[in-house]
Amino acid sequence: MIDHWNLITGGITLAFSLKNILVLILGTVIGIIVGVLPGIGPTAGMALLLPLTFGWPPATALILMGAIFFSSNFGGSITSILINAPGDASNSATMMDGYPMTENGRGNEALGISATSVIVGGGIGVILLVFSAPLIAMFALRFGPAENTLIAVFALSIIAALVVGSPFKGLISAGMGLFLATVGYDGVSGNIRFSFGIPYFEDEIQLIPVVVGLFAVSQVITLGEGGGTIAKVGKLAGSLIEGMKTYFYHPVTVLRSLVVGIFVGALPAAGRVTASFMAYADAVRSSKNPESFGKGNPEGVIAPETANNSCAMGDLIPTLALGIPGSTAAAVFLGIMIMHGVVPGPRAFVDNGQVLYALLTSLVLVTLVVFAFGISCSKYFAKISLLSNEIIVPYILIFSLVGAFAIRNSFADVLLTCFFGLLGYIMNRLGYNPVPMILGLVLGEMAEKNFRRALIISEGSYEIFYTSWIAKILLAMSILSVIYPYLKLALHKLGSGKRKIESPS
Amino acid sequence: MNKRGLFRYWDLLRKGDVLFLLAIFLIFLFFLKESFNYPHESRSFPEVIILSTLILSGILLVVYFFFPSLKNTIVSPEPDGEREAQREWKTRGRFYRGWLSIAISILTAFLFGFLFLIPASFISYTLLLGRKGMFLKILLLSLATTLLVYIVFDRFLGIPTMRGYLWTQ
Repeated sequence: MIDHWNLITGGITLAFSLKNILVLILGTVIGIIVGVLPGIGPTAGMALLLPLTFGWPPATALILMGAIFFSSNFGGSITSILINAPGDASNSATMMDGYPMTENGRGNEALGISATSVIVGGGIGVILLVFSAPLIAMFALRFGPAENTLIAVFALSIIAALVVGSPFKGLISAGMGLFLATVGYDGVSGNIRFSFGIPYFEDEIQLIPVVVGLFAVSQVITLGEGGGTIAKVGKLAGSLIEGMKTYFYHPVTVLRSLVVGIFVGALPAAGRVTASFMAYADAVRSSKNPESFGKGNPEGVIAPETANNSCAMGDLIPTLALGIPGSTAAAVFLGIMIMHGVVPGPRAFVDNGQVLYALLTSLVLVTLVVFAFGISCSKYFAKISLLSNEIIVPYILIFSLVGAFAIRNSFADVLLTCFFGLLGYIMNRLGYNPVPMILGLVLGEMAEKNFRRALIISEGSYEIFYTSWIAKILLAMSILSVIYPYLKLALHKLGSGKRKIESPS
Repeated sequence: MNKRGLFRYWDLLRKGDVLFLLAIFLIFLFFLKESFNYPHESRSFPEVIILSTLILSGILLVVYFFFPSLKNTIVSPEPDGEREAQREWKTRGRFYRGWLSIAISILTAFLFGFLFLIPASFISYTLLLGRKGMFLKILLLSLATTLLVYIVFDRFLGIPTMRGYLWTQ
């Protein structure tokens, strides 16, 4: 029988050694920087620093990587909130209300919310990770290919219908994203699809050029048209402390987003993007003023940021407990763990308990460092929104295009970014929200793989998609989320009709 | 004035929303035809997506053309008070000049390397859309940024920022 208490105390002592604390601070600062730079993100950040860790003790190496993995999210939220350009795809949902808050002069407050969500979402997330990893991993194992496909369908339908407000336009946007995910090399059969003989399209379409194009490049044009500054009010009214207070004024949203984040994180391959969008959709659905979302509602920042931060911890549940990464970044983290001799799986906490508890302790400390950084430095970042567009617009363009170029040093990625910039601009003008398209592209590969696996299992019968009780619930919720706006309209008309009958004058 | 018959359809075709939907419909129709070239296991999922998108865009087109009175209910099922109008198109001049600035920046990056995108974007944006009085300040800022990007991306991250079509370092 292993003495878990000894492993825990040993891990905590290891995490608090001077060297590991310094590495943790370094990793956190690097993580925030790579999060701010579009196109770099946690995956590239960890990959870039991996050679540095060869020869390091496993705990120190994993603490550095864990700090980058977790803190990059806050860096990404800074650019999402201030310049409407997500550092990482997982920050896309934050833009929907974070940027309007900046436009309303409340950029500081939004950054305060984001910093607080790091400590709450991440802190609670890591505590839950320690206690719930085995239980959640067991439940996640009940999800077969059909259920995983339906998770993607549900995520897309809820985003398309509830967040966007127009189910048809939202679903068309999602369809475009899902189709983009099918372009290029088919990982299951090895065929090349929809490349039209162009070698560039034989590889899959990268997420970053699409995200950066749809949101950042289109923003360059929108800002260029308007002139002036991002913040329309001329001064920053909100404060970081106000952001903290705002955060705690919405405990229900925080709790719901925590649950969404942890649960989605625990599902293999669902990832932070899904969690943040699902939490956002949940916040819209449960709000008394759903129409205020997209116009700078603080709950629109609280929900995705809390889910995102807790999901980062949730991501580690299948990674540590099953060896199945919850996201691309978690997959890189998994590889680094194995490289340093820490093999994940049911015996991970038995064989490398001290290293893993040191990692988990460090992740709690990372939340504190990110929070301290956020509170002390964010106000300087928020002043970005008061800079004139002559300064800020070229910066957005430069970081967007350099970020797109940095993925593979390919100029074609830059041209693709510009194409999606134009598409994003047109879609925004015509009322097509590009967010479902992003989610479609993110979930496309996972949805297709599971869709095909499910059909193989069922020998081509579609019954598999509504046989299990989990599948039935997911299917029902997907249908309900699409028809919900029409039901709401019908009820509204019924209500106003009744009022007219009651007061005919 | 209430136009009838073919004139109404012609007017509809000039609307951005209808044109966009029509473009989506035709492009996805082309993708559907293309999907027939692939083996069954590779085309089953894309076909589901393509057909779903075709059906959705087809329904919207039918509503736009034949049932205009249902448009608001189908497209944005919000109570009247909550319905938000599409964003207004701003002045076309600034739109074209914005894209010209992006095109100049990208062409410079392609020809000389990514590092030159920085001064090109700052200068072209200021000259085309900004205030000319800020030119000197912008020029200095662009040079400082160029240096910073060179250190971070080229030296530290190893991304080749000085490799262009005409000139390689």
